[in-house]
Amino acid sequence: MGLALALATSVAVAPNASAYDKYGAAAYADAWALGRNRAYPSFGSDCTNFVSQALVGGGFSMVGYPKSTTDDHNWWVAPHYWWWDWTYSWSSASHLRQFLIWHVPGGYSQGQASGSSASTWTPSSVVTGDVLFYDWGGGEGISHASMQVGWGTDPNSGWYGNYVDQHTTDRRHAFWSLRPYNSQMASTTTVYFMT
Amino acid sequence: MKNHFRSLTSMRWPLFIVGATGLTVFLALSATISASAGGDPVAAVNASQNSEVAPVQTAATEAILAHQSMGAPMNSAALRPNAGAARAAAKNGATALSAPDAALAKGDVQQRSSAADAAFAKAFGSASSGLKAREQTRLNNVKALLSDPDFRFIDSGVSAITYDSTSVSGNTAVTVAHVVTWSQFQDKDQAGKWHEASPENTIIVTTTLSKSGSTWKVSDLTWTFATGSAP
Repeated sequence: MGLALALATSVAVAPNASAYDKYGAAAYADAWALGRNRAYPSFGSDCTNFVSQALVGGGFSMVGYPKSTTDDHNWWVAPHYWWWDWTYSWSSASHLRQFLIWHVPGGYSQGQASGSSASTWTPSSVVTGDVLFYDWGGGEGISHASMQVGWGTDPNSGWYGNYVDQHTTDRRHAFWSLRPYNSQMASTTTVYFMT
Repeated sequence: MKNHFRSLTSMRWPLFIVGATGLTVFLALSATISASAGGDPVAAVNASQNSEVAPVQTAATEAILAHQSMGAPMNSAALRPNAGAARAAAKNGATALSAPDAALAKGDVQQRSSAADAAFAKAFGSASSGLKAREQTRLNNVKALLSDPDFRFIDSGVSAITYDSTSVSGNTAVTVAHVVTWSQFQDKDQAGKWHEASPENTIIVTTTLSKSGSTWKVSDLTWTFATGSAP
């Protein structure tokens, strides 16, 4: 996400951009990895909603409000009567990835790795504030997203290397491939890096 | 076909209400039957009426256990609880070890690897090409792990299979089950320290089966992590 992006101050689209603050995004992720920000909706499967929030926390502007919720060119969430309205790209991992690929400035694919990888580091082009997408290999494609927020020791597993924050399951500073938490790690599980 | 089954499964309660009025509804409305866990009275009636449910679930269970063996070879096809949680607690979880303190002997690894090959052939021999490819990838990945000197495989298993629904229509069947899977292993980090993990996840497995002669064989198997149980 290393391109110029706008700071979202409201649900209105503000395509005039400022630089994406990757550390701001990571700080948001660290702050809310184990909690829920009541300024946003919360879902049973909350991973992509959480990553979307962190992107906004880093200055990424919502796009296309109030246009189609199903068009992956749009990416927004907004209060709607007593609940919320949101795009597929806000809440669904595969749709967020498509949005980031299509959006300019957005994201760029930086390769992939096996979910069984014990490599200490993600590819060198992947840095704090970048988004990782996961295909567990069960046949449904990409279905999970997390944000890389730094490196060090995963406090729960002891694994050392790049780590991520994520929701559902909520984890803070989890080893990037999630290998220590995955009984299905030898599956065709694939991690896609977006930067 | 899958959606058709699901739509019928979702109609179980309305059908039961009609049935309570004295109509013989199930055979009249559809040849499809459903059996569900959790004491559903309609499911109980259906299960008793259809002798195919048990063999379908037996074949599905065999495929589910084979699937787990493809990803982490088990030493038994029986359900077994995860002993890793107790091990991890005894080791204080994230504490690093100076050396691997548990691993399979090479002979055991070879035996499990061979058993996984046999399970693959038996369970997925008639499967779709997509499923074969996915399971073959799992098997290849785990064999690569087993040969990695910085990896120590300890154990793996399935501790529970709960069938949410079983639908049979002619020579085709679909089952949906919650499956608790686990594995135990150790990795060496770049500092030479070993770390043990014992992940346990519940996955929702959808199995499609076809009947050939008198035998049910899996033709497709897809899965996803249950909400709240993903890595």
